[in-house]
Amino acid sequence: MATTSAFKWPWQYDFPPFFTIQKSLSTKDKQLEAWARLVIDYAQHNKIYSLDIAEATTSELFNNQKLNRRLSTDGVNTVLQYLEQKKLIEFTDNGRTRFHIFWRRPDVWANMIYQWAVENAFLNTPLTLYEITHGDDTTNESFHNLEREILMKALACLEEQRRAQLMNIGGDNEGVKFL
Amino acid sequence: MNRLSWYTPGESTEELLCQAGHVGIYEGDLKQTQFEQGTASLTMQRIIWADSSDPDRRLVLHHSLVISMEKHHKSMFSKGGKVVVRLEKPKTGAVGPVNSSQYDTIRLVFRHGGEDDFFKKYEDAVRRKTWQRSSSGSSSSGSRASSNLRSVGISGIERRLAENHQKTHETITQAFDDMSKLMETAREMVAISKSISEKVRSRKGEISEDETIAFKSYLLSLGVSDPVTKSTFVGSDSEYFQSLAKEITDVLHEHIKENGGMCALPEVYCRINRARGMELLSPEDVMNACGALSRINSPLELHRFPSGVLVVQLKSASMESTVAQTLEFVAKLQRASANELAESLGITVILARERLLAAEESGLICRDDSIEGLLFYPNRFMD
Repeated sequence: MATTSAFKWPWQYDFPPFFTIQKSLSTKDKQLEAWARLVIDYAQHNKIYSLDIAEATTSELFNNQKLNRRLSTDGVNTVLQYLEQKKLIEFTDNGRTRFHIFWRRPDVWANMIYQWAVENAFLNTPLTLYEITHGDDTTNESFHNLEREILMKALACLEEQRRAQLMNIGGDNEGVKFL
Repeated sequence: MNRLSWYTPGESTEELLCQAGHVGIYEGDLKQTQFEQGTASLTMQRIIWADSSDPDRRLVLHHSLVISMEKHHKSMFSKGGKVVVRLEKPKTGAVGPVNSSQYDTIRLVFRHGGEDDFFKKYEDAVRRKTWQRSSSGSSSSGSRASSNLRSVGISGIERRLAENHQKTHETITQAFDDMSKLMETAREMVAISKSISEKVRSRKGEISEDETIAFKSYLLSLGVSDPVTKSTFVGSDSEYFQSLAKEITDVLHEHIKENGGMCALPEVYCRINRARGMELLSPEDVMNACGALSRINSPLELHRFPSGVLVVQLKSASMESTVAQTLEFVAKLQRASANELAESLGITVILARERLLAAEESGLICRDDSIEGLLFYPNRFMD
């Protein structure tokens, strides 16, 4: 999709103090806000659904080689904590080494998928999960290549709203039927 | 030994000058004696020695027989300090324990010390020759005559002067005796008060209120400042500190005005003492005096940065204006370190850092802490 066009870094990314967690509380709030937006935007632009902390710390996201600045491990943790508090990420393990990035919240995904199903007349038709995220019909949809776990969260949302029914989960042909 | 006589009651005016226990009397170089252990009492006329085992067995050595004396300090091998007395040929008629002797000296051995004092007083008593007076004054008329005789002529004046001198000397000696005792006691008191205040500090709460108060009042009455509650007394010598504050204002006002409106406390301390040259102030007094600056309407004031650094600054240089000034500097350079600010304002790096931190605290600048050091930028996050 849009991966070809270069990611447009916010101005903060070129502002050296951005890479030092600020001491003054009100300043720090603004800074974390900016970081949160950057992480989400970056993930959305690059279609990243989950990240490893170690991986993230060394990625260009937290490293500005042009400025020779990088956010310290403590800084990264502070930012992630802030994101977790805002429910924009979720750690997938107890060791807190991997996390999902919800650049769209699961219910937003759910709506998008249901919309797609309605538009393409897939209601009341069983679909495999593979078809939704990797099928030929969805190559132009933003949820193409969506991670399975996030897809499951979105579908769980729909099931709760009685707009979908999960079938055969855990089996060979996992599927879903939109109602 | 033949100079010693058995005791007979002396004159009624006989006054005890000094006494020492565990004294032995030895003759010449002999190592043995019948008078091994007793109490030696010194009067103006004689030494009376009383045997410890038999107090009625008493010997007398009259001062009139003494030619000279010397003191020997306790050596490693001797039993104690001793006084060696050289004596004249004996008077006839006195009844003593020994009738003849080949020696002209006897030794008084002080096994338990006290020879210094005894020797001094003994020498003194022998020199004053009071026995001559009392023996010549056997009748009342004679004593009057002798006192008349004493008060006339050059010799009389001389004697009176000598007596006065002696008296003064004694008074002074006594006074200083008291003094040295006081000093010793004071040193003990200080040690005690220190140890107690340590205890008070270490077991705060275990000691009841009453005890603490009682202890503090003792210390106060001794003039020992209480290290535990020193803070409560800060500012109590207000008169003194206020005049010091005045002095600090006079000395430092110009300097501070010319150098960024701020001066760290150590520098204040150095400058004020340099200005005084003599009669230097303690750091504590300087600090208290700086605390008193606010009470005397001085153009200076003591300011404490959040980090605890204390400075004396111009009152006109309020926090807002210094912060604004700092921001202006940082904005001009786009990014600034404490060193650069210090150089530009002519203040110390520590003060510059404090200023930057204060400006950061008010959200006007923000930090960039990297391997390049701590730099400050205008706070664009808040725009």
